[in-house]
Amino acid sequence: MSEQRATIAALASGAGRAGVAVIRLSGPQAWNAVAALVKGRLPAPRTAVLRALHHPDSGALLDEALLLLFEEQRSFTGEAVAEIQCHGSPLIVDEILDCLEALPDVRAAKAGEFSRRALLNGKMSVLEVEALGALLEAQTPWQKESASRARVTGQEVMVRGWRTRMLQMLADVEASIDFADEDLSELAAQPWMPVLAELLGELRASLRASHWLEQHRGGLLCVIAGQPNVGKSSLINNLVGRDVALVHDSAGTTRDAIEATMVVAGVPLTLVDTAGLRRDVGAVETMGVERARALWQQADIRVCAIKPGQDVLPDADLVVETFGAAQERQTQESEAQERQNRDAPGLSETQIQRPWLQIDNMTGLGLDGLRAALEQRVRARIQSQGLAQALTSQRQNRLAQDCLLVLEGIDRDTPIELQALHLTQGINALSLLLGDYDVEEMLDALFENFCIGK
Amino acid sequence: MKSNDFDVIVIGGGHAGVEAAAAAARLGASTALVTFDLDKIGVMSCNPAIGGVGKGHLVREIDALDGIMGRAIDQAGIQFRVLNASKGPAVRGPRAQADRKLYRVAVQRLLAEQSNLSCLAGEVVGLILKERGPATSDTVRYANGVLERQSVAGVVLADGQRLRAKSVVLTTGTFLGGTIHVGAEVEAAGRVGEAASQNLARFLRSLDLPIGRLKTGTPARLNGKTINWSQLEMQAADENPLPFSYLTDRIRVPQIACGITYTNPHTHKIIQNNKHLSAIYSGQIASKGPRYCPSIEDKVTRFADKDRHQVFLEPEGLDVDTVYPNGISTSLPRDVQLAYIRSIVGLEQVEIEEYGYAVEYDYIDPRALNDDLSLKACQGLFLAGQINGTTGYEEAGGQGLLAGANAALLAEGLARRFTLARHESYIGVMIDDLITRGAPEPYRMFTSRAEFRLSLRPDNADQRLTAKAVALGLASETRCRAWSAKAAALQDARHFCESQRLTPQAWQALGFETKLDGQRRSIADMASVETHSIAQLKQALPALECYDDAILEQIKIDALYAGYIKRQTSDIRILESEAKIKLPPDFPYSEVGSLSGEELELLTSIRPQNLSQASRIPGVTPHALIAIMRHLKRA
Repeated sequence: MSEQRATIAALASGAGRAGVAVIRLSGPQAWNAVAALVKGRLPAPRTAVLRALHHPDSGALLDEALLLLFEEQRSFTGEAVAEIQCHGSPLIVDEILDCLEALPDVRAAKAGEFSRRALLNGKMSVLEVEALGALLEAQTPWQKESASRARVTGQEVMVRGWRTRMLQMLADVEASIDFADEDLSELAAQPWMPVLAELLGELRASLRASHWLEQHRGGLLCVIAGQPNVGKSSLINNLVGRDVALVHDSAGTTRDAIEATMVVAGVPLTLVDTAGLRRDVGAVETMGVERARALWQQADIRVCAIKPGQDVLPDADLVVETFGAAQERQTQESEAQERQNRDAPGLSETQIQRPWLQIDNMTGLGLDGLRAALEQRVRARIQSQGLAQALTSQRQNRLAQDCLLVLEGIDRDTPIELQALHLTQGINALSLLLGDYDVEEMLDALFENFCIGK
Repeated sequence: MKSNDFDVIVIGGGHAGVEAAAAAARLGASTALVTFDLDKIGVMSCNPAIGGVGKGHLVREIDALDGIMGRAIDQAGIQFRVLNASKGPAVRGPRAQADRKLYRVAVQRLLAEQSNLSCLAGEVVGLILKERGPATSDTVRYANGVLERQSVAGVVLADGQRLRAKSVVLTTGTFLGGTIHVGAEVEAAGRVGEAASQNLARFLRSLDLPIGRLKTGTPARLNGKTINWSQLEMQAADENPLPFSYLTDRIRVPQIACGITYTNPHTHKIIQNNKHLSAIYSGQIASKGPRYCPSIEDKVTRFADKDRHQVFLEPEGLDVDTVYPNGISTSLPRDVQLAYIRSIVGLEQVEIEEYGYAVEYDYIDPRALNDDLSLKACQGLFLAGQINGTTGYEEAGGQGLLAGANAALLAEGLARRFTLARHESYIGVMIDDLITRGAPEPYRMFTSRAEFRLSLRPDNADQRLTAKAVALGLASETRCRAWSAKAAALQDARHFCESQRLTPQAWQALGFETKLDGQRRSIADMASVETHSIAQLKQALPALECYDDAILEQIKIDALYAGYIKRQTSDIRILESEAKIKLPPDFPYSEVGSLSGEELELLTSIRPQNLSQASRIPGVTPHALIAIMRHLKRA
């Protein structure tokens, strides 16, 4: 019997103690293997039935479990599949798996083997397999979202659309080469050039969005900057609700960027309080100031913390005016607005309209407004990325990048046979991306990141 | 046991048969070419022209392998023109209109000069087949039911005479079960007035081969004296006609111009109104014709938005009045043909010498062939030309040459075969396409079929192939001498041009624009820039004077694509390594598992010779290849 046809078994749910554990079997012997543990009849496919499981040799009771069977072609892998939903004790799971794997033609599944079979049996596309991997790894809502079935279908449609247009371009290019003796004067003007420009735009936008996703695997970054001792650390402590930053009254307590994480609109948001920016820096603080500047540039959300009357960094998304115990909250809303306008005479209207909040670090008054403003910024930030166009894996991005590079090598003056070569190479890259053809190494690379049972 | 009459028998005297017979004879096999009418050997059945884009590439390759076609057209071409002359050298298409008579005479003369070759008049009605032993459980059964246990031993002629041979090449063209249609009229014929091979067709059908029908068409022939040439746009030949053959130094045939006219809405209306009378549209012909060489009925139907179609009026010879109207092939009734042709500018008073027709003929699914063009199911039987589903003289010639060479190698008892890979030649691309993809419609060569197009150029066919022909014994002494002189000159000049490197400053001082990047550039590097002409380089570097201009031009073209070609070497390596993984004819696909039903059927009926071929069969997925490879590793 060929290797492909062996029946595989593994725990499909998470390791460790749980209420329920799901053991999955796939292959020609999947149903028979379950039958070996069950005294009564097997349930009809797609109908869950409670059965006692016994050791096939000793007859000892292993557990009571729900059994669920799927026929060939109508299962996740395309093969006959059985699922055993038993009690989630590692001890029970191990006993059942030991019994199953002792049966002839049944063995433990290797990492990613279920998905691999689904791919080989045409039940999943390469993009779907990669999306499943991304889904299981997802830390942020947009990772989960980009791995969703609807989104994967969208990606597939997008990439196929690129490829179809490139094939049409290639057809025109080839016609102008191979039908030199026909009357095809309309092709002399290279009517495919506008399509090329459009494609370049779409590929770049997609890669930009994918790059952004890649850079933000762990969530968004919010940097809080301001003069020393304006109370940035207190602000973070108040937002997060615990003491993450050492707070002291004397200026320059914080010598390095410090971090805390909170969840805003479902998104992990890393708050970084930078070392204070001062002109007369001491040697110790130099490094901190450099890093503060770099972080400020990198940030998704920039918060400028000030004491009343201090200058505002021009490219901040939010301005927070902090009050401590020693200070009275004197400034009125209208005054603050007036000062903001005075501060930033050269700024555009939208920038001027950034929220200007006032927070009492001692009482926490105004924090709710800050939370709402952060949430609004987080949502806006994600929306502006065009994530619907993003691809899901590094493999996909590399191939889309390859395609972009060869297309960028085409212009009106490129000899026609070289235009054809570039287009062909681009089409090949997209075909690989879609998994239309590939090699064993690609499959291995694809599946090695998978955990067993998926 | 009766000894053999010949080593190789070639059936058919068209472009495939001629190349097959000549190639077998060049390899030293005693060869017979059997055809209905010896005077028709080398006849151009359809348009009087050789070459074009892709097709011209094939002719150069045939010539590089010392075939007939290139030398014949050089003696018969009356309008040489390079198509795509303004495009890159990889896609330029040498083409020549022929004087039909001069071409036929040239072919017949070249065959007459060939030793080991006799041409016999006769009709082949069947093949002598030998059973290769009783069927056993090992016998490979192809999906079409044919057993691989036969081998060919000769041919049977209509008069009952049996000619024995070790191998046979079938090149039946449009004659195998040929049926001609003009409107509703149907006649069994291979060409107008020439009998079809009905008996041979019946015989082949009895062998249970995968046989299908294809069709092609030809336009009416016009009397040139009745054409009003003064109204027409004329197209002249190239000023310096470029020969096809590497052995031809210059073209001596006088060059003529041809006329260009166009169909018009009135023409299209006549055709539309009578389309139901065309054999193709009335349902009389069900077989598939070529999409890219459509009849005028097809053109006005499929491109209804076009209000005119180009028609080239090509004189068929220097001393005849017949004109071939290229672009309006048809199977409409005679009166409709006359009406629509006379609606065209310049043809108002034209008289038709012979009416156009469509011809249907038998072909064998080429997926039944090995890459040496032998039938998998019958040892010693080779097929070439339209019988394999191709269209065109050049396609036929290329296959004929390869089939003839392999027939001779087999007859000599050698295990060696002469095959060409996709990265070596257009002939290799064509044969590989045919045997892996079949011919669902008549197959015509295009440069876009060649993924290694930049290296498979008409200019370098000799560099790619002549050494192979020499090594095999396929090249005449004249060819060997000419090639070794050219190869030496090329090597010499290339070495000089690649080793002489100057700084950017030095190149600038010589008058060549170049980036001042500190990179020393060779003469070849500088020549690769299109605007740097050989004359300019020679003027700047007197040391180049001792090299021939043509040789230096060749080095310039080679340098032009060198960077791109280098980047394709990894693709070639994959192709070669997969081709090395052989799949035996009895490979047990049913035991592989994880093959889909469709894949299993495709693989068991086609039985590819190696993994590379398998990978190109449409419908066979990469997963199937992986599974096959695993199975091979375990075995």
